[in-house]
Amino acid sequence: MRSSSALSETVVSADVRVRFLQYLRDLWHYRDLFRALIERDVKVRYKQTALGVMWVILQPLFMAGAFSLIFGRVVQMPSAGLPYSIFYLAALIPWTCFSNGLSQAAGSMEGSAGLISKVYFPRLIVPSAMVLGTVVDFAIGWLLFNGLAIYRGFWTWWFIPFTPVLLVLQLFAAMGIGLVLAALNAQYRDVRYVTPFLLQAGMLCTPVIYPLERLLSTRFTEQLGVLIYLNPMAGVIETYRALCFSASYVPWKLLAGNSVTTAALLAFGIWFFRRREQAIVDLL
Amino acid sequence: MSWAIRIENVGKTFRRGERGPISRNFRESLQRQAGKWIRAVNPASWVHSRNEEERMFWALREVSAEIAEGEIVAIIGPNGAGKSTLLKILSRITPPAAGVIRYRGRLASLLEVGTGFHRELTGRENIYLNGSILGMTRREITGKLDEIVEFSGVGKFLDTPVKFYSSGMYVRLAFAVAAHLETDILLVDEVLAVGDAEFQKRCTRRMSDVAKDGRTVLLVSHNMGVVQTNCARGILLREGRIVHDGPVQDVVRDYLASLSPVGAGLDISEAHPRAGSGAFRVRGVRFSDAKGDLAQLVCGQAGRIRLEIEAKESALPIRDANIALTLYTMDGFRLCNLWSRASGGSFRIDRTCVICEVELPRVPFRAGEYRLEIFADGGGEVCDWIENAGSMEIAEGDFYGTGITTHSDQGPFFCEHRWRTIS
Repeated sequence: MRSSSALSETVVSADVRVRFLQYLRDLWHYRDLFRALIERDVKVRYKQTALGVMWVILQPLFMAGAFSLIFGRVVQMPSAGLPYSIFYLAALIPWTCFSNGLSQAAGSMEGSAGLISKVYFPRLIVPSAMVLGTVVDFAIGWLLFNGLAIYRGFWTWWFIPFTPVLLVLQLFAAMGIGLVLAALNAQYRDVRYVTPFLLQAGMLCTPVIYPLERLLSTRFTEQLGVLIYLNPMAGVIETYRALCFSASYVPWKLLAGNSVTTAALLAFGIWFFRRREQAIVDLL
Repeated sequence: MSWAIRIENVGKTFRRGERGPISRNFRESLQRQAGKWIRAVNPASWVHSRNEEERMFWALREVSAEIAEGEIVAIIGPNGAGKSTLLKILSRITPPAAGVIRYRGRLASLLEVGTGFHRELTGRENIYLNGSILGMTRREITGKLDEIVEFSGVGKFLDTPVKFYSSGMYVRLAFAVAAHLETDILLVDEVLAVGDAEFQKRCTRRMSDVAKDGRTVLLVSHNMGVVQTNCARGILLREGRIVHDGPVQDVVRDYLASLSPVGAGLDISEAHPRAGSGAFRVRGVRFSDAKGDLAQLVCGQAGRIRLEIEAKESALPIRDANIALTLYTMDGFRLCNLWSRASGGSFRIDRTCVICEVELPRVPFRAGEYRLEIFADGGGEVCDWIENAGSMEIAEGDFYGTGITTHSDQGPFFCEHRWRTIS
């Protein structure tokens, strides 16, 4: 028999929402579930595919190849002095991970309905684990990119301190938006159709295909250029490209603006998700 | 004894015809919202909003109970009574619409065996995944891995993806993980009804071990045998309300009585396959306790089995008619034979409709489900023989009158006996 005084008391009710501190404690208690879910997703993702993990590399590689051919050779897009392969890979590897993480997070509550309706755990774990699962893909793609950059002579030591910071920025942004979409998707399945569309539009608004300076140099964007600070992926991609030469090209202002946007997105995402979290199970 | 769970006035509403309280389609919800605004400014339509309220139904209403630490409580009731909803609210899967629940300590729920199992992952990977889902830490799982594997008996296949497992292995592995959960409070929903008889026995034993540790268990089940062997207290839910909360025997009796109105029994007029000449046939079997207010035999009490017999007019009269009722346990063991010839009860049939009755002064069979075989002969030939006439349930009772009921693995029946010291 254990003594009851040592046991913590939990209160469940309609009107008292779980306090944030208790929520954090819950999240901490379920940290192993977090890890288990990430492991599951990573392990399962490429099971029973002939090429396995190769797909992580092939996907952005094909895209970069196509972009180099069409936007580079055919359209003659300026590439900030970088070879097209490096120019496009530096953008596509983080963008693919961001977009995969975001869309997986968006569908995650629906996809885990079986789990959610049978066991309690802080629901936040499901979409967050989806986003964090993309780190493995990113790491593999990033090794490839670094190899190529070294080979082509466009690698600086600055990649080492910058990559983790930019990665966190990218993950938080995907999480922030992903949480909102995940909560909405539980209620409105319309999200399923909106997400790919949103991501496509997002890519066009992000300097993936073109360099940022090109976007800002047109008359149309002169007034609207400020909006780029709201796009968290713009800074990430532009910084990677700048680092190919030196840290002195890093767009600090843009990066700072994007960090604020990302922090706001994440905070809003968590708040929005937590508000709906409890009710989600009855909607799935 | 201090409380482990306190449920106060808990309620849960659902919208009729939908599972969720809010519609799923964006357009629909816009329309509804617009409708609400229009109604808000138009007093004439306020009546409709009351309709809206009528469409809500309470899956649970004003449910209150206090469960003490170390108690094992059964929640029983017909389908749709709100049992699973109550467990889901207790385990925080779904929020209550009203009321408060408090509980002390760690709580885990087993609403299904193998939640989150992934077919592509190996047994070992699934143990970790499922364990974490149930709220175990990685270290706990590693510490119990050997025990879990041993309990499940999948040893050799631990590193094989579970999609290659037989369904039995799958279930055993899943239950093994759940069985090694160490929480202060455990909520279990029907999951005991899995696996073969041998494995079920192991699960039941595990349940009582859990209880001996002083942990609190809430069990939802339709299996009255499991309920009665494991729980001391029962809570009967009907239409979302608690209608009976008390000693499990009383609650089960209340529940069974409500299920089968007095006089119900086995209708075997259309039973198939059956053999025999058909000169006379058993059409129905009814069970009742001594007082006749329960349509069941109760262990340790007097009981009656009533047979409705229909004879062919052309075959009348039938001399020296005999009926044998043979009871089998559900795993096929022949338990006993109630044979009219052996007990001196041969009879004569001279009408087309006859009712005869077997009386048992004290039902010696352990509570549970039994299969019935009926064999009838008359005038020197086999008239009716139904090997599987259906199953009957014997209710739990206190055979020795001492309040001690032995475990079900102590044999299927009781024998009257007396102990004394000689010198």
